[in-house]
Amino acid sequence: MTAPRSGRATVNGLELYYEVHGEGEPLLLLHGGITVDQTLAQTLPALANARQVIVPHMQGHGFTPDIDRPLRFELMADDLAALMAEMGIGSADLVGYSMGGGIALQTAIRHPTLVDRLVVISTTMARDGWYPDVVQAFRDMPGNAPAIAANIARSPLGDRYPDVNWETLFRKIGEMESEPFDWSADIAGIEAPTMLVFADADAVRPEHIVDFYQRLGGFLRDGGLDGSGRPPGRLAVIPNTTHYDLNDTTAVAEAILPFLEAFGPN
Amino acid sequence: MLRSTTLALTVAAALALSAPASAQHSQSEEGTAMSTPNKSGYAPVNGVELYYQIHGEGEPLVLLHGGFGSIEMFGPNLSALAAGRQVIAVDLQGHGRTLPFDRPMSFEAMATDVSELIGYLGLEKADVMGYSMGGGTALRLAIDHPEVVDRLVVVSTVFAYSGWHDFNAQGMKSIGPEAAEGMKQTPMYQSYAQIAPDVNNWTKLVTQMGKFIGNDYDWSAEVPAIKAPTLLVFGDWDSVRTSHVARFFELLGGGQQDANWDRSGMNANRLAILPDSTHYEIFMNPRLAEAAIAFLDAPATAAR
Repeated sequence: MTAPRSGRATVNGLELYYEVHGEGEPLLLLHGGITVDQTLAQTLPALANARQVIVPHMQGHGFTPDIDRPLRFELMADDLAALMAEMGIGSADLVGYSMGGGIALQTAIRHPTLVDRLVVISTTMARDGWYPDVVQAFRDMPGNAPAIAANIARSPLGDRYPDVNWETLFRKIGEMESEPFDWSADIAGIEAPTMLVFADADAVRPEHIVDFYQRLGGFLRDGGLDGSGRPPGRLAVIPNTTHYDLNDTTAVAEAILPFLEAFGPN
Repeated sequence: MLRSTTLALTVAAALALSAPASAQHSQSEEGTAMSTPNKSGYAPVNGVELYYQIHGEGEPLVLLHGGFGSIEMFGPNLSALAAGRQVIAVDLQGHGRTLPFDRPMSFEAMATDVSELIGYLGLEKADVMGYSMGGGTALRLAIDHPEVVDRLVVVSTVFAYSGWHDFNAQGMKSIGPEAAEGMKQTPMYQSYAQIAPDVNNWTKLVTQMGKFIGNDYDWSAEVPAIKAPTLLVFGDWDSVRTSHVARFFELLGGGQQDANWDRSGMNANRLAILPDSTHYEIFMNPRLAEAAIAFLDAPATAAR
């Protein structure tokens, strides 16, 4: 793959860094918490083989410096909307993993005209969709932040992103994710065709996956011989994967691309 | 009456074969015709004569079709599976080349047929994969005859009758002898007529199925005891309720906790939900064979 183009946009007080990979119809790919490359892994190059993939580094992540503002899904969704306006993108497909999935969801809720198709990977529509142990781990993050941060700063990840304040990032993510949130009432109002992707051994509870998909109109009845029973939603559960290694193969991209194609060009 | 007959036909077609359009789609895309068996015949097992075919070489995998179907329904997926293993494909009671027998249909009896077939072929155990009615048979086999099942792949079926959507549950209950004539217009009859030793047995098959396929059952107490590593596969628009899918995986110990970074929270069982997939094409969906092969070829994981 050729080296990506990169740029910066000044949005909402942030100097937001982004990369552009591949060619074609633009797609915004939103990374998970803490890291950019590691959380997108094989999903980024596999999507960039077929599409132009724009990867913004969200507040305090990667090459986008932090500002004096808590991390909030809603604020990052507004950052994304402002970035799209700066780049002259009227609307695009959004694909987000974990924290990035939450940002994608909030973008579809707060800025529905910007979203053509929505793909949400391994994330929840409410805090309690995560297993209790996962929520507890988020609660523990601010307290563990200094120790973890010191280790990361000395690791290859620290070398790659020398300007990240790891302690602040861990603390802010822990605070954001352990605060109760529940967007379930907003899900049915999402008009963009939506696909959900999970691991079979995910950090998300199965009942939550069922509830999530049903709110998108899924699973309420048989799809029918001719497919007429199916509203434009999709669900994939990838076997033998976890929240942490779901993007380590091209399986996610292979599941997503036919969905994006099925609903045609803009 | 008209409605219930229509429903029965729709569901019967669903249980059996894909619509012709999807068959063509699959044929042209894969470019592979039906695989040719190395060996075929009737096995004298469990007091009946069970038709089977063997395709490919290697570790054995027993493949069980859905209601009103036959070995042929898996299409290119049979070839894909047989490329890396010995597939033992079976026509279940009254289906395809196997006669209806003078025996009421039941998952238990068909599971015993298959268990004895594995022994008849000189095998100690085999992997077993079944779709819909064949999935119920595979599940029952793993419960009743665990000693012959290595790994288990259960495709688009329920562990309790209540797991079917109302549409499908009602449709299966409405199948009876009076449906036999009308069902002669369906692709599954056409397929049956091509391979059945005596096409006049069609009415007997429909009658037997009518007394069996709509019966209530609930194996939720037995599923947790299944020792064979198990892969569950469903479509995202399946005939099985998704809440039932989640419950099924939970009964197998899945979906209880986060896997953790080191995968310490996982057991040997897996779940696949295929996107853009229904009960009516999943058996010939190439992603089904991919998921099954990856599961069957994976190294043994920690015991449950």
